[in-house]
Amino acid sequence: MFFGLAGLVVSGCKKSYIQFGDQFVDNDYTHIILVDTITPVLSTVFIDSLITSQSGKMTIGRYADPVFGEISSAAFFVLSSPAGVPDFHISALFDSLELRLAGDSTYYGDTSARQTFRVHQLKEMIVFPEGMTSLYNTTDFAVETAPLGTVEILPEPSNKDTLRIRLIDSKGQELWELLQNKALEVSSATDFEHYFRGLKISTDHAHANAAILGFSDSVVMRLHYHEANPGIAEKYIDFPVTSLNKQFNQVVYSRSGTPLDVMIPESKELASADLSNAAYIQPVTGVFMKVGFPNIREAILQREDYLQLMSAELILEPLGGSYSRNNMLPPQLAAYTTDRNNQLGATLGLLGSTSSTDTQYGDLQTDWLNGEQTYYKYDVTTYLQQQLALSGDNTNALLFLPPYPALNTSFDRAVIGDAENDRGKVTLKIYYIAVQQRN
Amino acid sequence: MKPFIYYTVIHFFLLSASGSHAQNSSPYSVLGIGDIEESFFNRTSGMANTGVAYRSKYYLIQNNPAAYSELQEQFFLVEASARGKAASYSGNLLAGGNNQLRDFSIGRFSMGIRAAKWWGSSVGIMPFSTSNYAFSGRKSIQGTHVFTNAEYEGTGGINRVYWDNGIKLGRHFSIGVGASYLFGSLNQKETLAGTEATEPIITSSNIFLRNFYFTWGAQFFSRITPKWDLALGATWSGKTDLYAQHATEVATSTTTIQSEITKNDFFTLPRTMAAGVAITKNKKLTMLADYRFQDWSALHYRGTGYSLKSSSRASAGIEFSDLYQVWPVSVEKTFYQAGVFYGNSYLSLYGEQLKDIGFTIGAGVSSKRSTLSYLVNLELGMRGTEANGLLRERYGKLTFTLSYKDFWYTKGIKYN
Repeated sequence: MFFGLAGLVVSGCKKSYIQFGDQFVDNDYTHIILVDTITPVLSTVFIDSLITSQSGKMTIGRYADPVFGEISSAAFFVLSSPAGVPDFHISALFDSLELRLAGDSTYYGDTSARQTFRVHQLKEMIVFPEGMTSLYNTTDFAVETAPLGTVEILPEPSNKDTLRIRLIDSKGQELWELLQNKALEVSSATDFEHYFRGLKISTDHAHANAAILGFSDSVVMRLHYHEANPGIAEKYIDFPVTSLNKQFNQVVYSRSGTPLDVMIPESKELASADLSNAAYIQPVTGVFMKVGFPNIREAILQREDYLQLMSAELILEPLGGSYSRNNMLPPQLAAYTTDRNNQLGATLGLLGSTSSTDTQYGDLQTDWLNGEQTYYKYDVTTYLQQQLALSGDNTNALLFLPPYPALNTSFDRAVIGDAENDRGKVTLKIYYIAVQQRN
Repeated sequence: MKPFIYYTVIHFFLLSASGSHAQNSSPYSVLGIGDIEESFFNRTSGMANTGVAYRSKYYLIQNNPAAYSELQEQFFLVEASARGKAASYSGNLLAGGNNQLRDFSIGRFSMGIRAAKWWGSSVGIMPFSTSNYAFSGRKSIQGTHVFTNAEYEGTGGINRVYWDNGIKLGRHFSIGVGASYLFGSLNQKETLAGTEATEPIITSSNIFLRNFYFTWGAQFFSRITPKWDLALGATWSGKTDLYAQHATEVATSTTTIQSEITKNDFFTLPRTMAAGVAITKNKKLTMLADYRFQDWSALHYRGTGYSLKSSSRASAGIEFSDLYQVWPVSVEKTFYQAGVFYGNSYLSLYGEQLKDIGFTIGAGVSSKRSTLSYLVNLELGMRGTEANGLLRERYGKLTFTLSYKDFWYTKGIKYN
């Protein structure tokens, strides 16, 4: 009976929180301390070229970026023969030839400026560099002097309407005759490529400060004709892009007069102090930002009360005024581990709710009103814990760049200030457990 | 007999082991060495634990070790106690919501014998003090204006394993010594959570205490008239240093980050003295009074907002025993008890020494079919004050005690 009662009482026990004792308890042993005075080291890494082929996107236009300089982008691609050449009625007559591009609403620059698109036929076939299967932003192929067609437009990026560029009738007539004759040149993709080589779409130098517009790579060249059998029937034949691996965007830039107009050293890396106290990100023009923590070990481990790093976050604040609706920030920036050789390693991840590791993209917050709360934020806890465990000179760092496909198709860019820059800077917040020293 | 003992011992330790959370809870146990146990968990508990001068043949009275010399010859005794407590708290600074506690604690397990005609002895275990509290607060993240949630939980306490002996010197005088080994730990766990840090940070501060502790006692007892018996008693314990090892561990929910012994020092228990008187009419009606004093002030313990001050406790009790005669001994069927107490605890907070006042009622019955006795008592009391931001604790404690007695050995009774 006694133990039965005891069992009942035990099962009825409850421990409640009575809000009393805070003023008497000795709780000085453990503290959480925030340190935000450790200065990450920023630099900009310059690359010679970037693969832009088979990106799924064509970028065409020109823009004079106040920070990154005059930039132009031209699209190169190869057209294929029609999927099938029909038997034409005797009454069939050629009407016109046009190039059709589908806009994807993306842009970089000033879309209020008019600009002229020019279509040139290539003088040579698009071939990969020896031993390569890709084409780069620096790749170039000669074109015929006279354009096949031009069009002046006022961009409407929000409108995904198809851009149509009328091509010269002589080229259309030439193709029409080949089609009517079912010539070898239009009988297969390979033969057509040998015959036609390819096209380049670029913009006119007259509109240097306009915008670079984005288009789908599913461009087609359409030949219109009609038949009277007996009524008039308007018809067309498409020359599509099928060799997507030979579609690439050539990006040409001039950094003259910008903060990036500096002599690039052999190491291809410049400290933020040499670049107006900032680091720069625009991969399509060959600049990545690198953030290192070479002094982290000394700065943290030598603190007498330091016990363990609990969390660390890296906050990247773009320079105030360096971004706008025309000069958008990359919506995502992945952080890749790297070293003194600037080779890309693994991306910085974060353990997700399902125990899987999710890549961190900085979760960009944009303060369009005041510009003061615009930042990317990264959890660098695990990364810094690894760095703290390393002894000796630490040349490891993080490279920040957009993930694919934005990496080689987007002109979004960012300028991040270093600790000396009062218009926006990089901040490292380290929370560590401190314990009382009992000497 | 043996199955009962095994059953009792096994269950006692199982309950003790499994019920580490089930201790005497009180927010005030955050201070000092926790709540010092005022109850003896024995027959005197129904009389407000008044019993320095109390003597019993059939119950183990550890209020005064000299009392063991009164134990019935040729018998041994086993007793176990458990207590349930319910308390509610009020105070000006106490937020609304649930300010009530319920808990359960094993009170005592002891065994005793009359080892010789002049010598009674008992061994047992019971709590000396307990620490059991929980509250939440905030802690600043240094370098920011941000606070983190901090939860504090206190557990543990000091246990007392004792071997008490009482020796009869002549027909009216008895002396005794209680040799105890005090051991245990006072544990405080701080959990910092809801911070920028990804995991909770748990700091466990444990103070491990241990040492021997002695209580000396004496009783004088005599029939003063054909109807009235008188007993006087006194106990004394000297100032005792408990070895104190302070250990601190810092951990996350998964990993121990640091574990170290931060300090070795002492916690001193003060000299303690108690005196009591008991008068009994016709062996049935007993009236008792006690006064206990602990000289904490002499130790000069103090912390932020509090200090330890000399404590005192006065109590009085009355008991009616329903006896009947089974030749050649008298047998007790039932007994009924009541008591009152008033005390100043050893805690003084913001100049307010906590007062403890209450009353008890109790009863006991002997089984007709066995040598078991069942004791139950209820204590209702109030401790503390709402002044100076402190708490008033209103509590009720219900204690069950099971007593078993059997022959130890017998030489038989000689009839001439």
